[in-house]
Amino acid sequence: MPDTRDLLEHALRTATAASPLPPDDFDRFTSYRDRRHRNQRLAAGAFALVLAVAVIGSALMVLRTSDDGRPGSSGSVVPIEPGINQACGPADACWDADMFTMRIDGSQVTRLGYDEQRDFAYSWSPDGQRIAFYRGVGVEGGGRFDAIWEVFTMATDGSDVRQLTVASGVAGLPVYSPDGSKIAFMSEDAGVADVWVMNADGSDPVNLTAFDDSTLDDYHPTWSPDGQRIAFVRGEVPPGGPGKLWVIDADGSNPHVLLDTPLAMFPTWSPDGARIAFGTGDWPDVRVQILGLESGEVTDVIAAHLPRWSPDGDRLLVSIVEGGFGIVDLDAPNRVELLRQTGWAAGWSPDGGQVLFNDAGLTAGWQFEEGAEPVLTAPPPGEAIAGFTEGGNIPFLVVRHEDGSLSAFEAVSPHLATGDVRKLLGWCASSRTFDDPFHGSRFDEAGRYVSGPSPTGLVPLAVEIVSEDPLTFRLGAPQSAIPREDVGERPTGAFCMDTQVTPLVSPGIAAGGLTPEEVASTAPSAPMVGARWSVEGTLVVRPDGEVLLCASYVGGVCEAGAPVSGPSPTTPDELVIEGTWYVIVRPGTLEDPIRAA
Amino acid sequence: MRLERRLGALEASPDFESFFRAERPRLYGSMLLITGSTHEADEVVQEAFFKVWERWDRVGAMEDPTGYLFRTALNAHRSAYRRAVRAAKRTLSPPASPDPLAAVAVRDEVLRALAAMTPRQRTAVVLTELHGYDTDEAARAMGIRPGTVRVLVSKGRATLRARTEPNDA
Repeated sequence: MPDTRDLLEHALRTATAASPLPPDDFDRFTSYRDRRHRNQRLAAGAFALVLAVAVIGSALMVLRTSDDGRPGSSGSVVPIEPGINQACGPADACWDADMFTMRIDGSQVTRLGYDEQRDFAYSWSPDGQRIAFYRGVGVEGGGRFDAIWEVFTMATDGSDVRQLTVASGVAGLPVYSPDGSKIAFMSEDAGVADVWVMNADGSDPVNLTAFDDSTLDDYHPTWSPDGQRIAFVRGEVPPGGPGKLWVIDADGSNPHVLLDTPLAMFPTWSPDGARIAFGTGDWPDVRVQILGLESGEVTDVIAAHLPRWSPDGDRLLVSIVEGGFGIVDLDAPNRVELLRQTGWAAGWSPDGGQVLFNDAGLTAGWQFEEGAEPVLTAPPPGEAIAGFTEGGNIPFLVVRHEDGSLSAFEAVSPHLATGDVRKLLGWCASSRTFDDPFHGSRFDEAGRYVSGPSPTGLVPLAVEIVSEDPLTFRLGAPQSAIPREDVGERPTGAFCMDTQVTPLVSPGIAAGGLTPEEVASTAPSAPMVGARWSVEGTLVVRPDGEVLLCASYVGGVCEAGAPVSGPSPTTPDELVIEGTWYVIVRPGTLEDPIRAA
Repeated sequence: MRLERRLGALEASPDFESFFRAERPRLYGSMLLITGSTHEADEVVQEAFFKVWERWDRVGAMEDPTGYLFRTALNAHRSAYRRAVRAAKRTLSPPASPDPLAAVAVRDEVLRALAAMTPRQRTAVVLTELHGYDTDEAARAMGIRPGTVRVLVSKGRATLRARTEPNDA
């Protein structure tokens, strides 16, 4: 009988004979490496270009991102890659997350703690007092893939952090029971992923899904509203196989398949107990669907994932593949009201007034150690400077007011900050406003909302004055966004921007439409590179060749519509197609929203 | 560190490429056994080397850069969230080409036995039995307790024995 090592050597020889290494292995690696770097450079170039366009006619002075000899900050520009949620940081695309809460109108974004851990908020306690989350503790130097996950809870203001699991390898996805006394979570403590339940203080963990000796993984638990059952996903990963929706009684009895679908992810039980919403589909073509528990029928809702039911049961909080999240009114499905276009949603507050979400992107990797940010020299009164923080993550704008004081902001439009490349704001000296060159949102020099679609004012950055003469300062932590209700002064000077949103193309048009891949390849070559995103809407193609994108189209009336240019399909009859449409920004003339008003 | 500067510095250094050429076959083979998938092994290995390359100025100076590499690769393989997404891809979209490893694994009793283990049992057995890691080293690489490693190895060995003994063949 051969020993274990002999057997493994045999297996290794067999496996590598079946799947040998390619002979040009280092060339393949350098291609892989260069591809990732190309993405990073594209993102960097996009930022630079967008920033350059945004400052037309202004007195903006851009601090270059070099390592030497410049009076300001900067470091590398944010590399952003496609990923699970498109919320990406500089070193760990898509995974270096922080937790936030936000009112459902998009205001009062609050960060829950500032650290370098990868924290993933997952549920809000029923009494509204605590948040359950999991934290990835990476290997030295960090990494996209973390070595250990553990389950934690904290108060909703970010304080009183308590670790509930210890050294279990991978433990995450914690969900409070409806009465708040228990937490269901996923753990690999038994060697394979299982759904466990523990007391809300972390005591008495019990493996709930060890009901057979299979190698299947069990994850994504969700409680029934009466707390009697837990639905979860059972999947064979790796090497891949069916991932079905299961349900089990909360005491571990009566496990059975609930939905024999090819794959379900992130189920969420409706407050009335009658339905379960879940994600399904071939990433990135994932969709949210709803299973009626009595009828067994599955209803398609929208192209999104990670659904979370509102406390009133009327809406779903969903995350968008390209990044960001929004709310779907179940009375009007297939439309999502976007709340934010970065990050991904985790859940609702019990009163339904706030959402819990995770984000990385420009906010990841902030350095808060003493002296981490360099000392910058203030611009002359009335002027502004821009750059990137030393961590390389946050573009900033600093304006010196006429009275000599300073204000600093994240130079990112709060409105539809895209998953691929954020819309950078420009400083318009003639009107003394921060302007969004894509959608026309405008903010006064105090960062207050002035006009346009932005849901909030700007996100201020703390400013520490280092010396008075000359005036030097150091940037600090981002603050909560200024509420939109705090309205700024109407500008009187000339409007700077000269761009507009025009063409639209889509994979949904039978004749002449572009595929998403073609859209993706087209967008970077557009002069306003990077400003592409997907929207839910109705595309109307009329026999006369007119093409409209409408927020809704009822009775021949196009609501909030916009004409579409680009490939023009022919159709003998009016064609009405609902779905996800890909929008590209190209140069044009953006009408001053204030003048238009 | 600025990317361009790092790129330039590392292009000029032969050390990383030597490290890559020396370690890739073993890492790739190990990940084949651990993941049971050619595509997964290839992806994880590429990612692990990329991560090591990003930090090569520090990793190259480590006493055991190979351990760091394996740890990084295992971490890449571990993310349950990521695996769930990957499973979604696999489940609903047939692979463009069949995995040659899968065809062999059906016929080979040792590979079948490895597939019958849990992922952590497979990892623990490969690290300790194939690569000679001691329990503490394997525990560090896997991010678990040494005692857990011992349990996993014991169970993995038992599975291997049970599935490869002549009576069971």
